[in-house]
Amino acid sequence: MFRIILIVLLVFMAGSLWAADLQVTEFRDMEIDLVDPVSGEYLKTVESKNIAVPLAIEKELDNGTYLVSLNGEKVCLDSGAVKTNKVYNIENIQDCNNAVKSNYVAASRGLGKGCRE
Amino acid sequence: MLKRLIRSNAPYLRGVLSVTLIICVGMFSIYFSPFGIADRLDNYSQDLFNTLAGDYEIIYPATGQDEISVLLLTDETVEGLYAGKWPIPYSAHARILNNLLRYAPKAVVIDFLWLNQEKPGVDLLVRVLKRFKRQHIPVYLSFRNAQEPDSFWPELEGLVVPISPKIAVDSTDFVARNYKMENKGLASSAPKVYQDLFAPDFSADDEAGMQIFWGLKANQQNAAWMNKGDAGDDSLDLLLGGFSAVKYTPPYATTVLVRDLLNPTAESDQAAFTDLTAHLQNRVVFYGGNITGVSDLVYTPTRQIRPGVYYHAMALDNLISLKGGYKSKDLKQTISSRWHLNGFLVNLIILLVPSVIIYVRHRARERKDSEVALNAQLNEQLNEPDSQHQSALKKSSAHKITRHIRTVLSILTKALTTRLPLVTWVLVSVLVCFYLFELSPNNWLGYFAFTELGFYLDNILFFEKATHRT
Repeated sequence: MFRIILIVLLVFMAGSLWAADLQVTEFRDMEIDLVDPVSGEYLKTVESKNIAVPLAIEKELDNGTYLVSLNGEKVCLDSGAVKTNKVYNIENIQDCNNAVKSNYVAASRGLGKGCRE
Repeated sequence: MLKRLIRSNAPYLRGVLSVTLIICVGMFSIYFSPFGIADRLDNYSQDLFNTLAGDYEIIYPATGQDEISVLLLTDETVEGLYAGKWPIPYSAHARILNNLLRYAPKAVVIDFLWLNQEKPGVDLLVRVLKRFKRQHIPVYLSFRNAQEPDSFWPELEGLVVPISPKIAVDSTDFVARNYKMENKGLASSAPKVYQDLFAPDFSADDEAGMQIFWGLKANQQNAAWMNKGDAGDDSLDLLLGGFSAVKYTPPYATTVLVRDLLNPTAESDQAAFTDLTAHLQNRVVFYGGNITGVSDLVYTPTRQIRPGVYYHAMALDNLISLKGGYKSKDLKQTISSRWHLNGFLVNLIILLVPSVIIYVRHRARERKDSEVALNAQLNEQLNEPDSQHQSALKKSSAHKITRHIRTVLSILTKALTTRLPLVTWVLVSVLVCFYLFELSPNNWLGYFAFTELGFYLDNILFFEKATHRT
């Protein structure tokens, strides 16, 4: 029993280690636009040469961005703007689904000025 | 004196009069259009030609297909990212454009009217458009009139080239086949982009306007993401019954969905990047939407329903593929001055040949009929003793069957031999008009109808009676 628990724990730890290993290895763009992860608002633009790589990706979001920490600040950047060490599993339909989603705003269509975040 | 001259040349004058009468009937049927029937027939002819022949490189070379892409924003993305709110903020357009910039397009044509007065996210938009400018990639933006860029979007001065996104729907059947070269002081996207990037000497003949020829060559880059679907009528169906269904086929223009641009997924980062590069790099990218509430849809001449952005993309494709020689309904100024022709004269020349053939055929038949009558009379006189034998022979069933077969064969042969030259003439004329005079193929059904009408009128001796009376 103890062995089984140990193996399960090891598997979980390995999974979390792999997730933490997801990182930006290179930038494709010279300028990177940073977005607020909560509101989705544009924050600022930084030059990619000033960001050290590899850069840990904290979370891969459904809106096509990566959540990263820059100088202690959590920001999002476009997934297409960077090269990563991500291993794609195109055999898995869940991994293949690239429908973009976010929960930035609740909005109505066309009434008043629309809802604000 | 005049009477004598007329009498001595009576057969010729009768011929000229008959041919003139036939031509008049033809011209009348072409130009007289009660309830718009002729206009509708013209449009239908043009669409049929497009659908039947649009797949052939000789008719429509698909060279523009590799030069143009459509970047399509769909309901799904608007729903997913902005909970269905429309219009989306300008920062969203900026993000999409910035992702597009990575793949170095030749130019971007934005087929959205940006009318949100609050301008949310305009800072990022300006920043991104400045990046385009730094990389010398022109961005064309849609406006409603020539004043709007200055009055509504002073922030974008020098960053975008104003164009008109006007869609001209044909009032007779609501098909988007006509393309205005300019609207309210603004050039339309296709001629403007073509002139700026492909042919600086190109000058659009404004009055004529373009008749869009809708390319039909299958686009292999789209086959990867869209099923072939229902192709609608095949060629035989079209010939036998005309259009009867809407087609659901992948678009002609290479299409990239915004979701694939924002969230590229493939075997690897590099594979996604390579694939998007193949779809977007060094192409004119038309950025438009398929948004339900906006209803920016067109019904194409080949009976497909497409977002309006494809209409502009196809217009540019026409200019690129036909090297500026786009098709129009009336003769363009340049063509008419080069050939010293006008539309009326072209129709007159095309109708002259069938008219003469119909008349000559009529005269030949007339002569033959009189010869046959004369021979029959002579035979009757010479072969009277054999008449009993002849009538017995005629009564035999074998003879009857042979006679019927001969009659049918004779009718078929006559129909083919008389109509074949006319059909050939009409086809040659249509192709000459299509290639040389850059006219849309909209009269060919009318020409065929006219030649058939000629035969019918001839058969009821209409011309004979009319010219004898005169």
